[in-house]
Amino acid sequence: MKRIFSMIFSALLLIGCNTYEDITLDETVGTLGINGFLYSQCDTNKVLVTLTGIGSPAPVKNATVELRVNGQLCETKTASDSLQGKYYGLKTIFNPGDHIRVDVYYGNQHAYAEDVCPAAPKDLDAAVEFEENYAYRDAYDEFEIDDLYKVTMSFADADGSKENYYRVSLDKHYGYEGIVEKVESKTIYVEYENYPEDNYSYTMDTVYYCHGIKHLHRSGIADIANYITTYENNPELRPEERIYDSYFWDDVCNYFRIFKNTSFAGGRCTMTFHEDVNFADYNHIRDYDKNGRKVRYWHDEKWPTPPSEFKYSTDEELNDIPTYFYYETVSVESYSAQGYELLQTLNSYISGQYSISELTGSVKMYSNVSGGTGYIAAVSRISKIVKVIDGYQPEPIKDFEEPQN
Amino acid sequence: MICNAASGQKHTISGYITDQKSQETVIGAAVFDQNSRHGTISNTFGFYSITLNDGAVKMRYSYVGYQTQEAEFNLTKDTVINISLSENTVLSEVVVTGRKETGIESTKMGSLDIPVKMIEHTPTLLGETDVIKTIQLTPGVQQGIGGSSAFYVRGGNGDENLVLLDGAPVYKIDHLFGFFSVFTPEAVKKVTFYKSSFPARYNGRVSSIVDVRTKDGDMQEFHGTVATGILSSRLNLEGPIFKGRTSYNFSARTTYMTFLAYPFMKKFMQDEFFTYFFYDVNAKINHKFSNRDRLYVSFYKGIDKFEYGGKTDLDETEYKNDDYGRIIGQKNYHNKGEDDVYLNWGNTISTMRWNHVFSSQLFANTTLIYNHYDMNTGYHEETKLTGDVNRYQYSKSNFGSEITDYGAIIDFDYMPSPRHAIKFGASYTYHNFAPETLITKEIDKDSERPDENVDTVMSHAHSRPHYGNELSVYAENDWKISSNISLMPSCAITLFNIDHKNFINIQPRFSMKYDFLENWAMKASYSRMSQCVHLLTSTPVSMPTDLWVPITQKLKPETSDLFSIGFYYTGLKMWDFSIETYYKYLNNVVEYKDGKSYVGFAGSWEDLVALGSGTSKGIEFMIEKTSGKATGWISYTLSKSDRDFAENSGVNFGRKFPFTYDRRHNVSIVYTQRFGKRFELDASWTYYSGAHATLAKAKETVLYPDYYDDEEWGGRGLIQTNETKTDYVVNKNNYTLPAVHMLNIGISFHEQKKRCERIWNFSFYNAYNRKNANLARIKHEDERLRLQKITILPLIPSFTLTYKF
Repeated sequence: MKRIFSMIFSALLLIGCNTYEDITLDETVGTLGINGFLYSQCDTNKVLVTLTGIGSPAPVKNATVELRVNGQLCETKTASDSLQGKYYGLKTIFNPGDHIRVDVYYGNQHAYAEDVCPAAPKDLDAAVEFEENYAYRDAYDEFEIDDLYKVTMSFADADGSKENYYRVSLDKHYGYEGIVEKVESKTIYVEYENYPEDNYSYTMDTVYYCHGIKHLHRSGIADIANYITTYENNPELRPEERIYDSYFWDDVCNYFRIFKNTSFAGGRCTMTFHEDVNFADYNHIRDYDKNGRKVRYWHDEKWPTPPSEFKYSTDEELNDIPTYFYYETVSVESYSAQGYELLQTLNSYISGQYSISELTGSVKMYSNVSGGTGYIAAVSRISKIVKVIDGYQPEPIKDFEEPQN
Repeated sequence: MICNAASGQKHTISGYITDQKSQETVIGAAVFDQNSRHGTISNTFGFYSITLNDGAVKMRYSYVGYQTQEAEFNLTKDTVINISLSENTVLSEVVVTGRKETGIESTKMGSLDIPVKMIEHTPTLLGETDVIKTIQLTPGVQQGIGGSSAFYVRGGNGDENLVLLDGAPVYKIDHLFGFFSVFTPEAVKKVTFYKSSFPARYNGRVSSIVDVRTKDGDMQEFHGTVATGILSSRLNLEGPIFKGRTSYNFSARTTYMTFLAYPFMKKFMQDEFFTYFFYDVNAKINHKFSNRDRLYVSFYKGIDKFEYGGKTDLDETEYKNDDYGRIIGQKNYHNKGEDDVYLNWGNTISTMRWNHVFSSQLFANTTLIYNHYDMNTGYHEETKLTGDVNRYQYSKSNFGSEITDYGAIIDFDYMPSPRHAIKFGASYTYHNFAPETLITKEIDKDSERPDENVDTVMSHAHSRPHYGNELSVYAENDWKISSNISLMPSCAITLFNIDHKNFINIQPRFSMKYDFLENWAMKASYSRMSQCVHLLTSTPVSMPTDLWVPITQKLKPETSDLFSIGFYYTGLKMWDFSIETYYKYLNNVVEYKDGKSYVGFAGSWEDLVALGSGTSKGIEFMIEKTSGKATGWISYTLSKSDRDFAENSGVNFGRKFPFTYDRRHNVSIVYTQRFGKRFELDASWTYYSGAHATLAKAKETVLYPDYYDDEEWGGRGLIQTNETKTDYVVNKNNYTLPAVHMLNIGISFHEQKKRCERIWNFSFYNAYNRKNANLARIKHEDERLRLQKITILPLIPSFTLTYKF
């Protein structure tokens, strides 16, 4: 849909003409912004304090941040304790049902936000099973059939007497224990049948197929490998509960996997996810570069760049028998109504819904901060670890054959 | 309703008033007994009825642009007099308005009759005469983007205007993203526009009513009109099927933009294509069974089609490589494929109306309505590989939104005495709303991988359809209490049933008129209106992707309470003066919540919007010269309108903000001058204060929920935040765009040929090329902000050649 809008806007620009004028700065620059997701039963909460600005917001190092729980001042921070100088760590532990208020003072500005920490979901259970030939539609709207791991989880609604708002998050822990093999330096011949003038050869450095010597742990909003596929209490997913994205339609994707207790109020919610663990196979370190042992991870740029001091395996390690493991931390978080609104907004934002402001005008971001901007959301969470793969031994990678000249 | 008891013997004079040449019924013609000083007007089907005391009567039948006819006789029994008025050929002046039904003599206020001639003399974009463009020039009406058909009445949203085509609502009133309205001018007979004093028979929108009636067709002779312009051409044919009893009217319009653009596309778009066209078809058949029964069947279909795509037809080679890039084989095949992106939308409306005269005092009209609006957008890809590779891939995804209505209406006009004109009736409509439907079809057949072949149709879980039942009853009495005081109490009650929930709206309305001096009148009115559909829209450009959605348990019916008072003076011959002031309160106005907008499928639309309130107040002045060689009007509106949402609604933090089209000042000058019989000059100049836009002048930080990251890979612990920056907006509609003004000129040359009349019309839209800012956006360039103002329509000259035969 966004493409249609963009085409129309382009057509309007084509027949129209543009004029420009400078706009003078006004009070919108330098507005205090406070942001934070504050978790109950947690002593590592953080509040982000910035000032709005042209081009980018500016960090605020020396604001005064106050945390009140049920009206009682519990903690005051007068300086940022993070390297970037904008996060203010809070150690106060609060509980579901507590009224949270964060006040921030900076210069002559005072901004505050309030939320009531919702009750936590209860009795989380999760299990995993292998499922062959599972048909699904991937994040690029392509039809796929794969062998997948099916994760089934269920939990009890916190309070059936009212509307509750939840978010499911899945956090992967996977890695390899051991090294597969090492392929010695070889000469590569590349031939083009129709363009023989382009044929060439080069000598490849030693290739390390390092099936991970590290314990990786990641999750992320852009993770497309897992998504809610069925929802037992409501077989047809409500649109806002889908993670499904369509390349053409530019849907607002449910990246944060938020949903309400509409169909299971007072009861249990059961969901299944299908995990594609094939990504682990991509987690090889390959180097086809004849100029050196520059290693790169798989093409996904969102993955962390390996540190420069990355340690290559020793020959001894290469002889080890490799195994890898993979497990999930399944978490269910409970949000207040305003926290839910916020996550809906973030879903829209990440889905690129604000990117055609020429036609829609700028979209005002959701905020629950008085005297400034941003949002504070109080969250309750329960988690459970599920083992998906433990001790799997992948097939050794075949060596290539020397081309015949 | 209170009726005066009859005193003395009374009898009724009734009948139809028609055009003498075409036998087309005349709407709003004045019927006046000069002896008793009582009068009435013909209704929307040309029928009139007046009950008078027995004795000598001196009836006068008049309508602007027609010669007045008189009939003098002794009334002793109920009498049927069908009157045929002949056009006034003596006067050469351009007569612009006929205001009997809605002018100073009417109890109603805030309403305007717009005859076709008035529409024809409004210069517009590309010479396309347009009902809506004429309405935009009247006081209290604000334009959307310049040149578009969007209009906003007294601070109301665009979806609060009920536009009726022969009694059926039109959901999408424009083509080409708002630059053409769907009403073919040649098909239109008369338009009545109401912005207050809403008659009780009109329900379903809260801000205005535009009642468009199409021509019935000439009962006596065949006529036609052919008009061709730069972007579109029109055809109108009308004539008798059975002379004096059955007639037809057919009109069609289409654009040929694609053909005009073809040379450019051929040069710049080699393997790609672009098409856009729209068309309108109006057809109507009218049969007169007797003086008591008439049947009208009308049909309208209008469609817009937009398509962009490309084609592939080439030989290709696929190389097979091993893991190290070495070629280990190849396949040659032929690739033939095509793909396109499309957007289509359109209305189909059909009505059947039966007029029956039960008695000289009771007239009934029964209407059956079928109304369908749909929009479809999507993409289609098809690829066929033949040769060493045999593969067929097909995918199509279609998003649709549609509404289908089936309705039945019965309206009665009961005229028991000259003091009372009573209208009552009932209507029922079955609505079928399917706001969002997404279906994807996928075929992938590869001879090498039969196990992975796909042939499937997926219907994605989007919004479910909603079925609504709407029932309404109404009654009104236009009661002339004395010679200088009249009163019109009325009430409509609607019941809307949807999703097993009933919404009942009682809509009392009240108008009064007091002639406190000769040629002076004071009017006051109160109207409560309600509507059970909302239009969700994200852009100022009229987009077919805007969603019509019904009320639900969350989205309550929108209501308006409108108070108006006005003064009118007609003491100067050919001149009308009016001042109207109003205060309007809107309840349950829909607005997207902060952070939400509709440019994709955002899921449950009910969750994306919030309900709030709006207020609008203003004063409107109008000076109008109604006849003579020079006609036209000057109008000025001073108004203010804003929106107010609760603090917890998620809209603008509960702070009041201006309505997007809250334009403080609005001036329109419309001028038509006829020079002899051959030459006409039409001009309009408009000035509007700038509309409001939401612009971000700064950036703020956005924080995502916790993001797990591994410490060993650069993370900093279990709970790791992830942040980005986005636009920071303090308030909705925080920026006022520069004022808009422009001059439109139309020059027409008439030439009478042997068998037809030829008219050349040259028009200049935005004649002095004012660069009005229609859209705006902020650009952050280093440490400075720049406002980019986008002018969509600069000076656009055009011509239209018309033949009337």
